[in-house]
Amino acid sequence: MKISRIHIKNFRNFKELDVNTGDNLVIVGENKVGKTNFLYALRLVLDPTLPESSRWLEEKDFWDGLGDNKFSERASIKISIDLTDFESDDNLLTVLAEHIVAIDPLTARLTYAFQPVVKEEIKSLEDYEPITFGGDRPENRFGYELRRFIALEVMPALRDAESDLISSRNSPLRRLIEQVKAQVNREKLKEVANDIQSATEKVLDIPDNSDGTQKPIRNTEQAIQETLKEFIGEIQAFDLAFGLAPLEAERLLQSLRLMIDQGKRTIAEASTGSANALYMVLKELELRWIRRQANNQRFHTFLGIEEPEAHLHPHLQRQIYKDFLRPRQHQENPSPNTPQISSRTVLLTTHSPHIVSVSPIKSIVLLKSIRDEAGKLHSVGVSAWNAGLEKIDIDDIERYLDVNRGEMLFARAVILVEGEAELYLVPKIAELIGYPLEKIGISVCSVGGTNFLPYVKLLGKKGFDIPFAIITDMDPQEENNPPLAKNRVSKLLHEILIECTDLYDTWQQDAIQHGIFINQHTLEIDLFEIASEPMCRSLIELTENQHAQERASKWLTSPCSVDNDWLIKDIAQIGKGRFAQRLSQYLQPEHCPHYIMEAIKFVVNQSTQ
Amino acid sequence: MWSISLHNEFQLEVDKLNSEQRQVYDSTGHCVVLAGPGTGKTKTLITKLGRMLMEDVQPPRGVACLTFSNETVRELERRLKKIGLGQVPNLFIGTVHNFCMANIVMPYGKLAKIPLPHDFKVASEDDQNNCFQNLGIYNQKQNVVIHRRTCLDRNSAEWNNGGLGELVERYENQLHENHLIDFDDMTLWGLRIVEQHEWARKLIKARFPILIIDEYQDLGLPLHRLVEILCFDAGIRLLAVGDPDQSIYGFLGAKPELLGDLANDPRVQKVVLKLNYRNGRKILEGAKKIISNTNNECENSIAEGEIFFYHIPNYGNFEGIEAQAQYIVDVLLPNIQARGIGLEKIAVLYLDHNDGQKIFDATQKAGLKTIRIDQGAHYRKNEITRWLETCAAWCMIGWKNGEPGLTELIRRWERFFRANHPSDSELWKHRKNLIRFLWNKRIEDPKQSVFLRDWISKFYEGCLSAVFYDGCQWQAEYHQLSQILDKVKLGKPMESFTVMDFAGQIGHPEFLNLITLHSVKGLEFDEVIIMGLEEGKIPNYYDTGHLTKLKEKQRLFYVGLTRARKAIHLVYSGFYYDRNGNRWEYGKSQFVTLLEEQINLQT
Repeated sequence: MKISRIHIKNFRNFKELDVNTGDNLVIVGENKVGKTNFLYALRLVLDPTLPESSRWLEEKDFWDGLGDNKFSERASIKISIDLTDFESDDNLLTVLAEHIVAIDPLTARLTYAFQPVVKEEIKSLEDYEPITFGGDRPENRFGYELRRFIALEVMPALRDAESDLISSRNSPLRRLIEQVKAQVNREKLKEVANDIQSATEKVLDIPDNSDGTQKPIRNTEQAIQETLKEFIGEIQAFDLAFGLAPLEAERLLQSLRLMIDQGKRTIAEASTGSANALYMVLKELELRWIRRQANNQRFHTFLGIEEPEAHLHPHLQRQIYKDFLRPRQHQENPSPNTPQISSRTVLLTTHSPHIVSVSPIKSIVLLKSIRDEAGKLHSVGVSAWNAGLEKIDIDDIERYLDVNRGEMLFARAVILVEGEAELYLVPKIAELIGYPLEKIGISVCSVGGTNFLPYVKLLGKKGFDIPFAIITDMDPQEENNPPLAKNRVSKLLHEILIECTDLYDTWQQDAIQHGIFINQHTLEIDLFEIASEPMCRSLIELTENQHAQERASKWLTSPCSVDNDWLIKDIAQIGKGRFAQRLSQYLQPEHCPHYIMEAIKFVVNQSTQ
Repeated sequence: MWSISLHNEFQLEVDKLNSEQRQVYDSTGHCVVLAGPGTGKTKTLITKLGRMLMEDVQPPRGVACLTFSNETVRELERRLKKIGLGQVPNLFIGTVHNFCMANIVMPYGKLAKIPLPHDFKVASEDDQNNCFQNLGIYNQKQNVVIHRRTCLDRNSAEWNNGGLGELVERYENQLHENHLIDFDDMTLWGLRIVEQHEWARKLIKARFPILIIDEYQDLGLPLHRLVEILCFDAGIRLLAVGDPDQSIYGFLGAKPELLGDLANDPRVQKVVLKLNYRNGRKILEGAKKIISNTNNECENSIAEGEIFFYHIPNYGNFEGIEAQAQYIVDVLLPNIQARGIGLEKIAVLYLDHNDGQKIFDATQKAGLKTIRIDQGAHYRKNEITRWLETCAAWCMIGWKNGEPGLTELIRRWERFFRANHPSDSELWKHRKNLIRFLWNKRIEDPKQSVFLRDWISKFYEGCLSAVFYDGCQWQAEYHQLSQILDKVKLGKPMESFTVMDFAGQIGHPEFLNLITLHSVKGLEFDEVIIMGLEEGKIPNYYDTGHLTKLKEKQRLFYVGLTRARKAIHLVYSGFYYDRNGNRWEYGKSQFVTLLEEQINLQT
């Protein structure tokens, strides 16, 4: 089963969020954009452990933009979750059969609403009440009897994983031990309890190290007891004794601890990172155990995890979540005839690019804060679900994100470029003309070639809706053939402009209007026209080719004599990236190609709108 | 996790099952039970139901148990409560209409594009009649209604049937234009959805892998189709219980042969419950004379039983039916009571409310307390009036001994109230109101008389008016309620009714039962008096030439006979007067003649 769509209205950061989702969810966004609130909204619908009183919201839970008249205007908060892919699971089908809203694909909808009661005049929050209902039929209420079967559990951000691991009531370790309890041989357990008792006695009876007539531990025990009596009186004083572990067989198991370093240290002494990883492991084990139980009463678990990156080493983050976020279908049930549907869905919030970089692209939900037509801030959610990405595009982008650490999705705007050279030069040029990209939150991303289309789909209006500009080469062809850029731009415009017809004669102007900036030839050749001096200097410094050095020296004094073919070859020999890196050191404002400056201004403008 | 805690009574009931009943209890597939009168039909059904809930379905999956009327739903609920199945969340008990509406039409109607009128209400009988009248086809009503229930394929040649099909459609349009739906809409739509949509069958099966149907013989063709599709096509497990010999609703569209067909289907296990634990030997022998092919057999320990005949053309100053009524009150009832049998264990049965009025008048004159169930009664027994009676009973005695219990009262009331789609706080407010009212109206001393008129008018003003008002969702119920409110006024027929009288309508001692033959089904009494047994009336003059109709009358008489444990008294004059005052003299009913022959044969 998966969540296919989430709709949140008037709740906290969200004026109206409507996002399509699939499989696991990785909720990404800047601080304060509402990641925690997003999860909390889902909890209102599905968390069986959330006290009913929490479903009575407060005024501050309404979206701020509603203003002061929200009650009289009967504003209501509404959170809906659409579920699909449960048809082949009889249990889920049974639970959701009353809540169907669409047949193909079979979709159930569960809704929480905080709304005014039926009344002439709504004055205050007192006239509001929460309801949860299924299938878009407000009379079709559901409650715990559904949430016990389909539950959302949230693991809060692990600020203190080790104490959560050991002492919290909901510690997954505790629950695992509870489960062990039922399996151990009671008689043996009692024997061991007796052994521990005698061992404890021995510890307490250890004699002192001078003449051996005293028992220091017993003495201390007695001193505590006596003093306690002094303080609270004989009658109210209680029995005190030192002990190693509870002596009751029942409790003995509960005092089991996970130890590290061959039992030398408790988990409390482990690094926070290790504890964090361990916590996830235990949680997963617990869920697997629940699933295997004969009288399993939990048919699906949505596991919310808040900012799991805390204290985790980046490498570990990638390691853990790479697999965790992909459905593991065949590991537990190897029979190929029964397609195993994962009965756990992960919803995690993160601002770790490392986790994003290993997430399936369709799992990512990007939350961003925008202004509505009245200028009021609210958060919306976007996903790649409707971006029209083909399987091959997805593989491409996922590989890209993996290598580039997901940076693109955290940007306020993106400049897409062909290769490494632009990767070094564009930020430098931007800096020279007064736009420090890093500070503005603009990423420059190289697509490694000219296949911009998957990225345009991903960043476009139907995808993550992140403003972008493209910088690409004209690549003119010999004779009467049109430049390669023409066809390339045509495809991109087709994607960007939803109602694009054929390519016009004005394609170059159209391209600029939609953020595609093209030079006359290729980057190096165009650049040479205005930056021959620093280019030649870089060539001379970097090349180990005698002839190339001579050519560069000649071009330095007489730029007009440049031979484009040799120029490209000589730079390629050094490596376009390495060359661009060096060149960027020497660039001055007058060396900035116009089309790149235009692209930068375009994207800066878009990102601040 | 909710678990079912069956009471000890459940095990006791199971232990008492005979070998036939046990077959049902042990059945594992589709099972159809043919159960004659007194064969422990309900006991068999509820023990099997208990077993299914314990062993065969795991929540959230459940069992749907459907039956004919709200009255039978109540009886089932009462019996289930006794064995610890009082409030099981995954057990649906209701009428076929309830089931179709709540579990098919409401959740899937929109998706299946059923033309549900916007913001609809359930039509009362008056609403329906108005539709027929507006269309100018009131005289065709009966035919239109039956055609709608019995011809399900609207593309068939049979549908047209001399324009009858078109009349059905016009009636439906008229109804829906007025934002009304009727009970037949519920079943027909429910049927249409499961017929046309595989996904709907799958969803229903997911929730209810088991379907139980009680009183199958009364339920007609749409339900039969529904069962065929859900059970044989979609694979829901079926337990159907009924008795073709007790099918008496042919005039409403029921077909007794459907149950027989179902029982003989090779896919089902057929179990016939033969052993009769109720009727005295002679009574059962007599009954078998009427329905010759029945399998019913007397259980060994059952008493002999008696059949008495009374030819009463005149009595005192009375003649005909009035003479019979007076004779019953003056002679028969005192005789029966002299045998130590209380009035509540006696029933007087008759054909219709006209005869009912005669016996009612005679009992009133003699100062007897009665429970009357026919169209001439002060009010009809239906969901709302039963509920009001139960409220009265709670005020009298329930608050002391928990019978009836407050929870049940509130649950019923919430069902009414929820039709308004109230908010939780509103529901809470009105529930508080209800409880406060009932609490304040507790009656300490049962002998203290509180007039119903005071009680019920305060009840209405304080609580009920929030749910029942003109234009509310419950038009039929509102209508009933206003009738009672009117009849309790000073100078009206129920002016002297006390809360005690009203409450006593629930099986209270000292109340004589006056019931039509049609309404008596499912009940039993020590001694039963059937009056007005004149040829021409039972069976009707027009029925005698019509085999199907004659058979239905046989079954009706059979139902009457088999209500009696110890004795049956058959009363006739040999003649009767029709509505226009014409005297008809065809002698005693042919059924009586048959029985007399039987008795003479034995002696």
